[in-house]
Amino acid sequence: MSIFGVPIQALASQLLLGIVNGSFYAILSLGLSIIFGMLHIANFVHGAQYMMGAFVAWAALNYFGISYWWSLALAPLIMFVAGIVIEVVFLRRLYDLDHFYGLLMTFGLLLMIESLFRKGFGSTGMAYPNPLPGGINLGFMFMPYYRAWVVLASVILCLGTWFVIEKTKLGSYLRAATENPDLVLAFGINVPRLLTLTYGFGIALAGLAGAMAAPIQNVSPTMGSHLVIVIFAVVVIGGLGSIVGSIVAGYTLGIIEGLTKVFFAPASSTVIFLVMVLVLLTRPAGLFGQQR
Amino acid sequence: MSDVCLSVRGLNAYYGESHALHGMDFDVRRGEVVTLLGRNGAGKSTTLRSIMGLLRKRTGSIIFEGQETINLPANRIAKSGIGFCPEDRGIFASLTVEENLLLPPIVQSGGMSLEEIYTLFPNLLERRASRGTTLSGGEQQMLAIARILRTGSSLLLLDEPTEGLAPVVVKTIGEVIKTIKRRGYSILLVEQNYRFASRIADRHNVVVDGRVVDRFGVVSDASSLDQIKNYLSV
Repeated sequence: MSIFGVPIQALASQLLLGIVNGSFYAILSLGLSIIFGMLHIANFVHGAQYMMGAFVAWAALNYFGISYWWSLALAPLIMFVAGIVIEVVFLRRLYDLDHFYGLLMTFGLLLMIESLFRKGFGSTGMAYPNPLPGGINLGFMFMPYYRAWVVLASVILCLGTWFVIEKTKLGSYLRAATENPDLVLAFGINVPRLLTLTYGFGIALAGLAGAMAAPIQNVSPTMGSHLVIVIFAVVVIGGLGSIVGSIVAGYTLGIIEGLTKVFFAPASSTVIFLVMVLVLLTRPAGLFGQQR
Repeated sequence: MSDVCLSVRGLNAYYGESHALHGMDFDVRRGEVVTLLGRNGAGKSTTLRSIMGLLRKRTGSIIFEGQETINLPANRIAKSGIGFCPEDRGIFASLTVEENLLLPPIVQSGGMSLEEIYTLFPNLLERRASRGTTLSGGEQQMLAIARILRTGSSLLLLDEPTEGLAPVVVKTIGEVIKTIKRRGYSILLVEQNYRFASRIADRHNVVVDGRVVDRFGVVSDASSLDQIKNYLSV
């Protein structure tokens, strides 16, 4: 069986690959989007923080024998603390300045962190064993268990984050502080602490994504540096600061990228930016952003 | 123990380099409605923002319930029992009416319950699942006042609650303020509308160029009234 001359087997497996990539795009752009909405910081160091999450998992396994499943808790926890340190030491000094300084600061941090890791671990990268080997034959395609787990986990994470932000008391503080931080402060809510925790949470998400990526990607110091550009495009397409936009755009662009690989492979690495240009031309605030 | 709940002395405040308040002096006693009257740009809203700690560059003395607050951050000042209703009403578009209502945390016991608030503002009950900014201007003003009644704050800072509202809505807001005054709240009211303020306030402070230039109690004689009109006319 085939569609447009492409065997359905090949189509389905590229589609799955697209959804898996989209899962990472969604988790990462979600964090980036929440951080931008609250802190107005374009967190360029996000890719390095994702990479650090993968290294936490790798180091935990190789130095301490800590299994993948424990690393899923450990990586976000360590990155949460790292995020809080970065916010307190560097970022909070920039809130009253032009957004451009935040971009410069996080870009500088990205370069520093990546260089340090390259110096420590080389740039070839290390393998991480698959904790869920094997898979199941669905008839039209082979479904590796680990990839199915990644998709499931990312859907749960995205829905969970969406729920907390849109439906809980804490989420109402976050939404209100995104709109008018001064007034939220004047109601007695400690907004600076809220900003610190938000950054920590966004980085924890990146760290978790990194740990989840370790078994399917080479754990290498540069694994996040290409990704961060794609993630920014995803956030812009979804609409800066929009939670739903980031999630929807993350999965959709993963799928578009996967399908492009089937039909016109050379364009697969640029198709996301093509979509970004088209979206910006027609809806400058992004698909789900507030048009001004 | 004195019956003064808020005492402002020699309050100076600055927006960057520009000197906005030049030594404000006034008191609010417990259970009183006190106004700051004045033209646009006189420094009335700036005074409220300075009391609230939102304008951080400020000197002088602001004593609330015996505690000096001039160096406290805004969230600590709010926690000490001051509720703020800003000029633009500050209704959050991404929150429902009820989320807006429940946003400010309880700072002290003795605030109104959600039930009491919905009894006082039946419109808000009807619209509680709508987005905050889909309410009419008058309803948004009600919501902005209602949400600080829940918190147990004993002093309410209301910044021009009648601005841009139809006369019939202004009348309703007046009734609301009288009701909450009867419940023992102290209110510092910023107004340009003297007709409105005169019906609900106990004392008036006239603000010109960042200082209080005149004070009135309840005005009955025509010459004082003319004087006030003179202060407020453009």
